[in-house]
This record gives sequence, C-alpha cells and structure tokens, in this order.
Amino acid sequence: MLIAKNLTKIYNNGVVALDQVSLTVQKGEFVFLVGPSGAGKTTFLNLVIRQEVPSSGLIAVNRQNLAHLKKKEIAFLRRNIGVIFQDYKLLPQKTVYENVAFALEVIEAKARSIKPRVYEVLELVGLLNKANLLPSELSGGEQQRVCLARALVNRPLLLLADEPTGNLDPDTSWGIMELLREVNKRGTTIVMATHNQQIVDRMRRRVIALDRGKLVRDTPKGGYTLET
Amino acid sequence: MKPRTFFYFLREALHGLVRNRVMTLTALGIITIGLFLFGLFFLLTANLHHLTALAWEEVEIRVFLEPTVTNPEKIGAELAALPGVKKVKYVSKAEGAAALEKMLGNRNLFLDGENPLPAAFNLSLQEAADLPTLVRMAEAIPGVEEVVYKQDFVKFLEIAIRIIIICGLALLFLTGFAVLYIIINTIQLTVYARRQEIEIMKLVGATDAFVRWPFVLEGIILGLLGAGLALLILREGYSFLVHRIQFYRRFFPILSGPELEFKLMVVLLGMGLFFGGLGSHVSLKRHLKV
Repeated sequence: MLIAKNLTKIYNNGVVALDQVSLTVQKGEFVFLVGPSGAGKTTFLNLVIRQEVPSSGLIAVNRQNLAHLKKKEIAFLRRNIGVIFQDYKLLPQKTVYENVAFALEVIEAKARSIKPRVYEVLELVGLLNKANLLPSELSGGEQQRVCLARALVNRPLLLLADEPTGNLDPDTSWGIMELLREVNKRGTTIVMATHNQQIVDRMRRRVIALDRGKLVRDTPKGGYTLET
Repeated sequence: MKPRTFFYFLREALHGLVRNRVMTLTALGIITIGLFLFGLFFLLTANLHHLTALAWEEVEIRVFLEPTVTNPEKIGAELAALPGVKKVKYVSKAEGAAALEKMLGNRNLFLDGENPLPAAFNLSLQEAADLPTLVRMAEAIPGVEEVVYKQDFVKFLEIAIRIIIICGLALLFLTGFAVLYIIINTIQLTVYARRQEIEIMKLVGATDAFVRWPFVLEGIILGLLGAGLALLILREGYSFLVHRIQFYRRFFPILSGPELEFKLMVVLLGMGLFFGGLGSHVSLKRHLKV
C-alpha cells in the first residue's frame, strides 16, 4: 500500500525533516506515527499526499511513485487518500452535509450517488441528525467527525490522520479512535500521526517512531515508548 | 465540460459572491471605478479623434487642368479612383470665375470676357489619405497642370493627428494596464480570503481546472457588473454633458449618438469580461500550488 525507501526531505532553509526513512505499510494495517514535535511526522504525511516532493529517495502509494506525478495525477492520487487534520479544516459557511458532499462534488461524482453516500457516512460517524448545522454549531469532537466523514465519503484506500485528537478531551478522543478502528476493520489502511500516549498504548497497533527525521523504532503492537 | 459541472461552477460562483459580500462589494466598487476611468479616457480619445477627422475634412486639394483639356470627365474619373479621395467636384472655368468674383465682391472681374482661370477639380479627402503620394499621382495624370493645397495646414494637421493618436493610445494602454493591475489585486484579495477553501478542494482531489472555474466565473461576473455600472454612470454623465453644451456644439463638436454608446459598451463589457476572468486566473495561480 505504502512504501518509503531512503526517503529524505531537506527544506530550502536547510532543515532536514526526514533522513533516509525506509518503511512499508501493508493494505489494511493501522499504523501510529509517533515522535516529538519536529520529528518529521507531518512532513511524512505531506509527502504521502504529495503536498511536498522528496529531496531524494522513493515514496510510492499503491505502487505509484509519487515523485514524478503530473498535476492531474496528483488530484487522482488524492481521491484514493482520505486526510483528517488536527484543526478539522471545515468550510465554515457550508453545512455539515455540504462539507461532506463537497468532497464528492469536486471529483465530479454522479449526482444521484452523492446524497445517499453522504447520509451513509454521516450515519457511520453518528451525525445524521446534525446534517444541516454549520461547523460553528458543533463541538470539537463533532467537527472532527465531520472531517472524518469527508475523508471517508470517497471510499479511500488509505486514511491519513494528522493529530486528529490533538484538540479533543480524552473521552471525545476515544470516540474518534473507536470510529477509526471501525473504519480500519472495514478495510481502510490508516496511518495516524499522534502525540497521544494513552491512545497508542491502549490500541496496541504497529508503532513507527521518528526522531529528528530518522526512523528510530518500528514495533508491531507496540506502545508509545519502548518501555510501554 | 458536463452541463451539470458548469451549473455547479455557476452556482458556486454566485454563492461565493453572495457569501463574501464585503469582498464582493469592495471588488465591485474598485472595478467600477477602474473601468469608469478607462471609459472616460476612451470618450476623450474618441472626441479628439473626431475633432481631427473634422479638421481633415477641411483639407481641400485643387487640381487645375491644362487649357487644352477637352474631356474633364475622364480626368475626374481617374482622380476619383485615386487612393484616399473621398469626393471629386468639377469647377468649370465659368464657375471658378464666379466663385472668385463672389469672394472679391466684384461682379465684373473679367471685363473683356477673357477668363484666364483654368478649369479645376476640388478633391476632398478621406482621413487616412497619403497626401504626398496622392499629389504625385494626380500630377501624373495627363491633362493636369498643377495640384495645389494648403501645405502648412496639412503639415500641422498631420503632426497634430500623430500626437493625438500616440497620446490617445498611450493613455488607453496605460489606463487599461492600471485597471488590469487593480482588478488582479482586488481579486487576489478575494482569493486570499478563501485560500482555505482552495486548499481543501485540492486536498480532496479536485483538479486545478475544477478549482479555477468558479473563481474565473466570479471574476467574469464581477467584471461584467463593474463594466455595467461604469457604463451606466458614463452614459448618464455624458448625455448630461452633451445636453448642457448643446448650444455650443457648433464651436465644440462633441461626439454623441448610438454608435458611440455601442462602441463604449462593447469596449467596457469586453474589458470587464476579459480582465475579470484573467484577474481570477492569475490570482489563483499561487494558491493552486497545494
């Protein structure tokens, strides 16, 4: 599903964000990407959705090398990858329904199929009764669930989550994790960057640790730290 | 493009304009002012051009025939066929004498009946006539003795026209460029205000074209609305001016009429449409690199 080989990213200001990182994520896996701030987690996710281009090395999704994609191919790549963000990135002037439907409209999905699919994912994330509300009328946890619904509506093969529980209280965070576990159970590969030790320790999934751009640990069913 | 997609773009464009009312109204105001100024210079240039055309009409060339000529009609036809000639009028010996007598107020100028004046043709010219060439060609026609015109006046007129054309074009070009610059910057503000929307569109897999179209349509709608408003103000203001100086029009022949209005409409709406669309297109470029 996802392959990185000697992946290196050096920014124009000389900062080495990723240094010779090699890893493989199989289809259907749930992987935590952990490490302190500045370890390179977000850079790694940005390379996967081709928001950044590697300085050297290889990154491939579904056997497609991302380094040489044309503009249009980048758009098509992203249709297979769902992304959720710490700050949700919802459009404030659109309702919950419109925010989710938007992801289908921009890829020119068939008009007939949009409504049932949006309601389907809103039901999955438990927001069917809030479809007509604006994001400002929702709690943080609900906004993150809208973000998740938007990421899932297009049936992505891979879901990237960048600190999805960063702004949420423990109970709400756990609700989001339950949802992600359900999504993963249905076959979607998930790579989640997080600082949340409790969640990582409780979920017992594969943990990849980065530190100053280097891959320092890759443990199946691991904890947030080597000791846990 | 699928019709459904086009209507989606149009709907998004209209929603975008309504949702971002403050930015829309600001942009509309600035575009209207820019196009109003351009329209003003356009009217000024058109009037200066009209004035020079009127002056050019005053230029007359007299082609005197040799006394032996018996077939002035043939020469008249040849003169009429020369490039730049608008009208040819034959002035016979008798008519020439009568005109001279009238001018001098002396009824019996040629007492003994001997009229020394040659027969002639008066040529009026088209605006774009190349005078030296025309004169040379007229002189080469057999039977033509001499070609006379007010050389100093023509020289002055030619220089004046050249200055007016160059200044007019430069003025229009500069104003057009300034208006385009203003429109691009204004639309850039509206695009900047919605950069998150663009980023999200790109992250969920929208192609550049898909992101761009609603914004380009918004730009076109803004441009056309701005042009419409500028046109309305200019039309009302100009007809008020024409009405006010009606009395002096003999001395200051200001242009007016449906033809001018149509030209102004085409120019302003065309600029609004083109600049609005181009402004959005250029403004978006930076934000599409997501």
